[in-house]
Amino acid sequence: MTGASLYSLNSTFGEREDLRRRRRAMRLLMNPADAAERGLRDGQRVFAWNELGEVAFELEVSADAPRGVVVAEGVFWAAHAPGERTVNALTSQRLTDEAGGSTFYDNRVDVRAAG
Amino acid sequence: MPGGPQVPRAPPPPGYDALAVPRLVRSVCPYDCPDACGMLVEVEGGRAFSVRGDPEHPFSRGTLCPKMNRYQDTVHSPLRLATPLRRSGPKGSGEFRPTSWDEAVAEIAARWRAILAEHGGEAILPYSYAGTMGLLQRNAGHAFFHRLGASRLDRTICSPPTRSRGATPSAS
Repeated sequence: MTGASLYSLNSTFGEREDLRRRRRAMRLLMNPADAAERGLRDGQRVFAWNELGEVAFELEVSADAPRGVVVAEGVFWAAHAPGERTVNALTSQRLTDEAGGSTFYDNRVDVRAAG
Repeated sequence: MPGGPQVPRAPPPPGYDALAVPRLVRSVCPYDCPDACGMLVEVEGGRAFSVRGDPEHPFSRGTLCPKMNRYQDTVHSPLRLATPLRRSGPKGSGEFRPTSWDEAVAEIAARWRAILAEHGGEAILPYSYAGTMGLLQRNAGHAFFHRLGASRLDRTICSPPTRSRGATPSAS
């Protein structure tokens, strides 16, 4: 699931160093039980991946993420990403059943340790 | 407003060069939130020096989000495009050269006139959604494109499901 960051508006404001510092690294939030199941630890570099691609994140183990859901906050510029791609690489062109909107916020992924 | 510069309310006198002297102007955040937050911007010589919330704005009452505080750093960012860019290489090559507004408008107008004459207005599709488009700006181009008879975009890229009847909690 992708959520909004307080310190950017989608990819807008990536030019602001003050906001980038407050937004911190491009992180993926994962519930502690999910992380334990996969043998992943806080601060570790991970890949979120699906049939569309894979994206490197810094893992943040956090009870703020419910079980079974990982959360990526904000849309980063590729230049500020830990890998070559940003969360958009995991986004499908599927539309919502209501009103035919985009599904940027909701995509099925799995997570594994990087390297 | 004790302790702060007064906001000019009357229109400036004839001959007044608005950009030549330091002044505080009222503005409104141009981004998408419905709040349309009021801003006070310190301007001198065509540059903004500070941005802060307008305490007299009836809804936001002086509060700005972290992004709009120091918005002058975005407006004057060296990474910001300051002129139109014209593609100077093959599509996808990423090659562009700066051009003037006059040149850009003249070229676009000439090409659109040719398209309109040959194919009609529906051959032009304005593509936009929002972002830096507040309540006023987001519909500002519509009248122009309607007058051209342009095609209309089904603008569903971002949030239409949040406004659809089925997704409205109060819908029965």
